[in-house]
Amino acid sequence: MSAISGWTLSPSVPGLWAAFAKVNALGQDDESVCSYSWWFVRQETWYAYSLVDQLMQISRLTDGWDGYGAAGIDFKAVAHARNILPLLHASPDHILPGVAGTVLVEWERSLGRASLEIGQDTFSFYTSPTVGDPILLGGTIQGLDVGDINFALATITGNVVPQSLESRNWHVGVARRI
Amino acid sequence: MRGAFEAPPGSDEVSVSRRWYVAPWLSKAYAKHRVQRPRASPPKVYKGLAFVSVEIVRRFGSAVIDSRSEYLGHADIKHGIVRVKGVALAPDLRKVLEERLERLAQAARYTEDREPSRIQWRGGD
Repeated sequence: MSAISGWTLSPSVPGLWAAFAKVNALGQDDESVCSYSWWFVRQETWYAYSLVDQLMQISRLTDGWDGYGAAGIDFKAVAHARNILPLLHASPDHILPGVAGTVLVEWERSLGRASLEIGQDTFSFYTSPTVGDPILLGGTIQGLDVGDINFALATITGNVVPQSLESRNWHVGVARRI
Repeated sequence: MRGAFEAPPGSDEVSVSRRWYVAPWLSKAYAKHRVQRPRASPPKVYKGLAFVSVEIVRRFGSAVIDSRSEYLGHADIKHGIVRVKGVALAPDLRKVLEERLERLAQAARYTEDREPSRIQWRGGD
């Protein structure tokens, strides 16, 4: 636990305090669990801080931030983004302000790209895969299912093996050693 | 750079100048005096000009309309999709719009101005 004392945790980022409390709650007796959790928390903390920092920068943009009539970033959109981002399995490549005052979260991977737009009370999501059909999701924030978003993201991040490949017997055709 | 061709909320139009009527140095002067906002946070500073042909814009699905009521040589790129403030655009429309903006940005010939403080434009046509 002594390693944690070297961390500087910002009180403006509640997620970091939560992560800190989680490590402290671990029992000293079970060292293997503790070390694993420490690694996990360290990764999560860095990731969360990076995203929250970018979101905070975006949230400061006021009306006309692009010099061409863009709307200031809505604080509700930023709050929704803060709730949703930690639940996503694939870390985004870009967090951007939208001209309509929304927050854009984007992924660019070798299998395609995906974009999530978070508004005041609405969201929209699409994938643009290099092969196959896009996945389109949208509606109210209350209706947003992060599981659906994660599944759709997996199709461009390569975490999903197509069923036709998954069900194949890969042992067929392998030369037998004599 | 796709944001360069993105319309503000409540509109589907992006103001541009027609090369036939407006010389690049005049577009540069307009950008510096009417669009640039060096004291804003974050500052928006003139960096250069992007040229794109009307034929390419129309091929990608947007319209180009003459709006000389603003000034002779003024035109608008019209995307046909209007964003509403604070509302996420429907995913099918957003995919179409963003991919079009991306293609426009890639097709446009952007020339960075090495002498932004000067009146003259030496970046070619």
